[in-house]
Parts: sequence; C-alpha cells; structure tokens
Amino acid sequence: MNIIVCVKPVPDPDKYNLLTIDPETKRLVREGIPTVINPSDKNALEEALRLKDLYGAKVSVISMTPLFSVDKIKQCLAMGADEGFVISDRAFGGADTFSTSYTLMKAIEEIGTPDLILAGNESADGATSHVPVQLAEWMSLPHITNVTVTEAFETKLHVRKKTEEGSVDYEIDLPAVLAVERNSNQPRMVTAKGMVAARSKSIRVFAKDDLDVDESLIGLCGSPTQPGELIVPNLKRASQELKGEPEEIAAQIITLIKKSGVAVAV
Amino acid sequence: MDMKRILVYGELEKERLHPVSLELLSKAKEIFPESDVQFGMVLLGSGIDGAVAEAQKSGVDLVYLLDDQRLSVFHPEYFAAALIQAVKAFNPDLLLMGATYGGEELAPALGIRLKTGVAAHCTDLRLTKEGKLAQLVPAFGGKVIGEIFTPNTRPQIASIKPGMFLASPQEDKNASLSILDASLLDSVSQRIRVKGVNRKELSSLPVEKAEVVVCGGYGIGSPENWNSLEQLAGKLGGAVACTRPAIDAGWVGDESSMIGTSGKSIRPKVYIGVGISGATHHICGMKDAGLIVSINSDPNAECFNVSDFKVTGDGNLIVRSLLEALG
Ligand SMILES: Cc1cc2nc3c(=O)[nH]c(=O)nc-3n(C[C@H](O)[C@H](O)[C@H](O)COP(=O)(O)OP(=O)(O)OC[C@H]3O[C@@H](n4cnc5c(N)ncnc54)[C@H](O)[C@@H]3O)c2cc1C
Ligand SMILES: Cc1cc2nc3c(=O)[nH]c(=O)nc-3n(C[C@H](O)[C@H](O)[C@H](O)COP(=O)(O)OP(=O)(O)OC[C@H]3O[C@@H](n4cnc5c(N)ncnc54)[C@H](O)[C@@H]3O)c2cc1C
Repeated sequence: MNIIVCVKPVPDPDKYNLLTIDPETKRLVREGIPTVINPSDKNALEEALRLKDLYGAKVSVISMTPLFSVDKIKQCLAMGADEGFVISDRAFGGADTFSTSYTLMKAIEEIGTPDLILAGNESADGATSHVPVQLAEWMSLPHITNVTVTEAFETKLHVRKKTEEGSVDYEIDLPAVLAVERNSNQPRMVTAKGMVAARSKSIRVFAKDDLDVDESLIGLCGSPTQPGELIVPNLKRASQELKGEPEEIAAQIITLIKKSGVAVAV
Repeated sequence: MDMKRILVYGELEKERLHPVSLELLSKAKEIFPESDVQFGMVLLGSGIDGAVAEAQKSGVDLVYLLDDQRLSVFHPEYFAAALIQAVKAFNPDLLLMGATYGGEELAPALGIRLKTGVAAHCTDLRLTKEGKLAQLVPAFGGKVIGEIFTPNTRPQIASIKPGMFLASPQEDKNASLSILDASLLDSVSQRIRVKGVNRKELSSLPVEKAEVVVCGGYGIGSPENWNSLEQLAGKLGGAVACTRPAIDAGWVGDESSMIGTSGKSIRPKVYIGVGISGATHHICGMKDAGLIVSINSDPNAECFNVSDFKVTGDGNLIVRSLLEALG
C-alpha cells in the first residue's frame, strides 16, 4: 500500500497569545514563535505508520511550505515516513485553500496516485479544514473528515466520523482521502535510531517548473478568495477585582449573577 | 458584483431545522434588506416534513427539498450532489452554510465542484464602504481575524459557526416548495457506504442554550473538584462547560461542552471561568458572554484581561463557598 500524508509546518499554537500585528505594515508579527508540525498532521502520520506496521506500506509525506521548514519534513522521516516531498516556489505564495489543494494535487500527480491520502483535520494557523476535502475533490476521490477511527481491509477502510450527535461509521473504497482528528491516536516520538535512519531518506523539492500547473490556478492570483485586512479583536474588559474571604466573594458573585437577569434561588 | 440571490443550506438537527440555518438567514436579510433580493433555502434529509414547514415560514421565497432515504444520514457524496442540484436550480450569488461537521465538509467540496472561493468558519459577515461582502474568518486560534473577499467567482460560499448571529422570528409568508429530482442520487458513486450511526446521550441543557455557564479548566485539578463544578452549574440552573485540557484529563466525557476554536461559541448571560488560563483558542468561544467572571490562582492569568470581574485565588474554594451559599 502507498500512503501519502499531507503535512503543514505551522507556528507553534501554544504561543498564539504572543502574536501581534505590525501597525505600519498590517502584517502578522510571529517573531519568537517556533515552527512545529501541525498537531493533527502528526496524528495523520501516526495513522499511516500504524498501517505500515500492520500491513506494510510505503509512507510519503508531502508539504507545500517555504524551504526553511524542511527540518519539519525531516522530523516526519525520523518518525518513520519513507520519503518526503516539498513543494516550494514564490509563485505558490499567498495561495488560498483552492489553489493550495490544486497545487498539492499536481504534485501528487507527479508522484503517482497512492492508495490512501491522510491529512490532519485542520491546521492550527489557517484552520479552514478545507485542504483535505478540496484535494480529494480535485482528484475525484471520496473523502471523509473528522475521522477518529480507521480500520483497514484489502481495498477499503472502515472509518468513524465525529458528528454533533455522536458519530457515523462508513466503509470507504480506496483510493480515498481522510482527514484525521487530533486525539485519534498517540503520535510516536522521534528516536535516535529514527534520526539516523532519516539521514539516508530522500526529500524531493518541486518548484513551479517541475509541475504541470495551470498558472491561473496557483498562488495569490490563482486564488478565488482574496485577503483584506487582518484584525486583532480588542476583547479587553474592566477586570475588576473581587476581594475578601471565599464566602464574601461567593456572595458578590451571586449578586452579580442576579444583576445579570438570571434568577437564582438562595 | 451584485448580491441578488442568496441560498441558505438548511441544516437539520433531529429532523428539525438546525438553529444555525435561521441565524444565517437573519444575518443575510440584515445585510441585504433590499426588496429585490431573493432568498432560498435547501433542505436535504429523510422524513423531514417538520423542517420543511419551518423553512417555509422562515422568510425565504423558495424552499428546495430532497426528501430521500439515502439522505437520512450525512453522506459526503449524496449531500454534495444534491446541494449542487439546488445551486444549479437557484443560481445564487451567495451560498451560506453552517460550519457543522457536515457543512464543514460540504462547503469546501462545493468550492472545487463550482470552481469558486469558500470562506471558512466565519464569525461575521459585513459590507464594506464600497459595498463588498467581507467574510470575517478567524485564524491562529481566533487571535486574528482576516477579512476574506471573493471578488470574481459566483456563487461565493461561506460557512459560519453556529451561535454567531441571532435568529429572527418566523414570518407569515409561506414560501413555495420546489422538489429536487431524487434520481440525481442514482448516479452518485457508491464509494462511501454508511455502516452505522452511534448516538451519544445529549445533555438536556446544552451549553449553547444555558443562561449561566460555569466553565472549568485544567486548574480544577481532580474529578472530585469537577463534580463540585457540575453541582454548582446545576444549582444555578445552568450548564457546565470546559476547556480542551479538561477533556484530555478525562474529567469530561466528550467534546460537546468544549468552548473555543475547535468547540462551541456561546453567549450566555453569565460565564464563570474557573482554573482557565485564557488561551486565545478558548477566549474566542466565550468572549460574547454578557458577564464574564474569572477565578484563577495566577494573578497574571491572561483570562483576567477579558473578564469583567476577576478573583485571584483557589477556584475550588470559591466553588465550595458558592455551593454552600446556594444551599
Ligand atoms: C486569517 C486567514 C484567513 C483565511 N481564510 C481563508 C478562507 O476563508 N478560505 C480560503 O480558501 N483560504 C483562507 N486562508 C488561506 C489558507 O489558510 C491557506 O490556503 C492555507 O495555506 C491552507 O489552508 P489551512 O491552513 O486552512 O489548512 P487546513 O485545510 O485547515 O488543513 C488541513 C490539513 O490539510 C493539510 N494541509 C494544509 N495545507 C497544507 C500544505 N500547505 N501542505 C501540505 N498539506 C497541507 C494538512 O494535513 C492540514 O492538517 C486564510 C488564511 C488566513 C491567514
Ligand atoms: C489547534 C488547537 C485548537 C484548540 N482548540 C481549543 C478549544 O476549542 N477550546 C479550548 O479550551 N482549548 C483549545 N485548545 C487548547 C488551548 O490552546 C489551551 O491549551 C487551553 O485552552 C488551555 O486550557 P486551560 O486554561 O484549562 O488549561 P491551562 O492553560 O493549563 O490553565 C490552567 C489554569 O488554571 C490555573 N489554576 C491552577 N490551579 C488553580 C486553582 N486551584 N484555582 C484557580 N486556578 C487554578 C492556572 O493558573 C492556569 O491559568 C486548542 C489548541 C490547539 C493547538
């Protein structure tokens, strides 16, 4: 079985409180925030590696990302992926999910359609949850998002999709695209042995000219959605301190609740 | 480009209209009050007469319906095919959908099939001075919000989180009904087959409907303390909510009461947060509460900045005192 895992390096989501917007340029300042593998992409990779351990598979990771985050792809290889593909070119910059997924599709065309494509359910930064579905749609493959459980059979998978009411179980024919939820498994750690093994694994870089792309569908210009202004909402409130012994504070809180128009029986 | 035809995807919840559908319609009517704007709603499901009646009274001009056994459970391919059919029939400039587990999968799929832009999980929609529709999309866990425009392709599609807008009341007018041709489902590939539906027990008072929400975070510290928090919510006639670490710690069984980016957005009259640091992922789901009280042992806790009142101290002690005071 051939599996491709989509991976997006993102600014560390545990540090988003530090983000600001430059008042001059109106651009995001992410100074001091390290880049990490998007959390749920690790779950997608773990799922692929689990299938590899069980049935044998070749696991490739693919990422459209600036070259400075190639070390994150190396990290995937150290976790156990077999080879890496990085799509990187100025021309792809500013892509929305429509053109990101189009470009990923074109690179996968170049690599060869696998039996299974796994992605994280959402990125921590853009967080649209669009890319896995849109990649599948470009490739005319079936897709399921919010996947928490997978079980593999010869030519099909059994998967569970989380829903408002609980979950739905589906059988899906391969090849297919699944978007995997965080918490669906426990991603493995990188070991020293894995790091050594990763050194001999290849990472291939695709620039624009390496792919058979329609230029009107890539990058910012090929994107049907266009960004306007970035806003950091001001959510500041008075933050008035309630003081006293716990009983006194409790009494003050109850008074505040009543004042808000909620009936409380005391 | 003009907005003359607006289609709302009428999401269902237990064979009734999901509140988000009416929230979207109300917002669209507020932004586009002109009398020459046509509104449509599309309903896909099985045995949904109740929802159809609600949709017809919702204030739209036209309701599209496909009532078919194959639509009784969400199915990415059947639903996308049926929705495309409604889009072709109504020819909307704007398609609005709830960012639910289903809607979130359908909206981007339609974006590719219709070769158009999709704005994701919007928190607001508004017109710019130039009359362009800005779709406000949160990113980086809600820390920033980006204006997203779809200048050239139609319909433009936006998914919107439930609970962002208020739904206006039903209207007297009764929209006409247009039945979609069920045979369109026959040609959908059978690559995905529904095998079963697992329903979890839903709380009698979901967090998004409660007037008072007592929300606990990792600082609660133990299942026993969590229990007290639940008792407190009960005594206040409200609901208990949580942050993600409280789920990871195993104190809360499932995500239906999680507040934030990956959970729900709520606007209760009162929100009391206990043992919550105030990560942007959480704040973006509770910032619209009427009154916000935060209790945290750390005097520099981030959550204090977004609170009307703060208590610096052991949250579990305050919870205990509240329980005693309420008897
Ligand atoms: C403030 C803001 C708002 C935005 N709003 C929109 C919007 O409304 N509509 C829109 O179309 N675009 C929007 N974008 C652009 C969008 O974030 C980018 O196109 C982004 O590169 C891909 O989308 P995502 O991060 O949301 O990924 P998601 O779709 O959330 O990612 C899900 C999974 O897809 C895979 N994946 C995603 N990107 C890549 C990649 N580059 N390489 C490999 N795998 C990948 C990963 O497995 C990831 O876990 C917005 C960007 C910002 C900054
Ligand atoms: C992609 C992504 C999506 C996410 N989505 C969500 C989401 O939807 N919702 C969500 O909540 N989180 C979400 N998170 C997680 C989020 O980033 C934070 O980690 C989380 O909100 C922190 O929860 P917390 O405040 O309970 O825990 P912590 O950050 O650990 O804070 C615990 C707090 O309790 C205080 N405390 C400790 N003991 C006591 C005591 N005895 N009394 C009073 N206070 C005490 C501490 O001072 C501390 O401030 C997401 C993260 C990512 C990466």
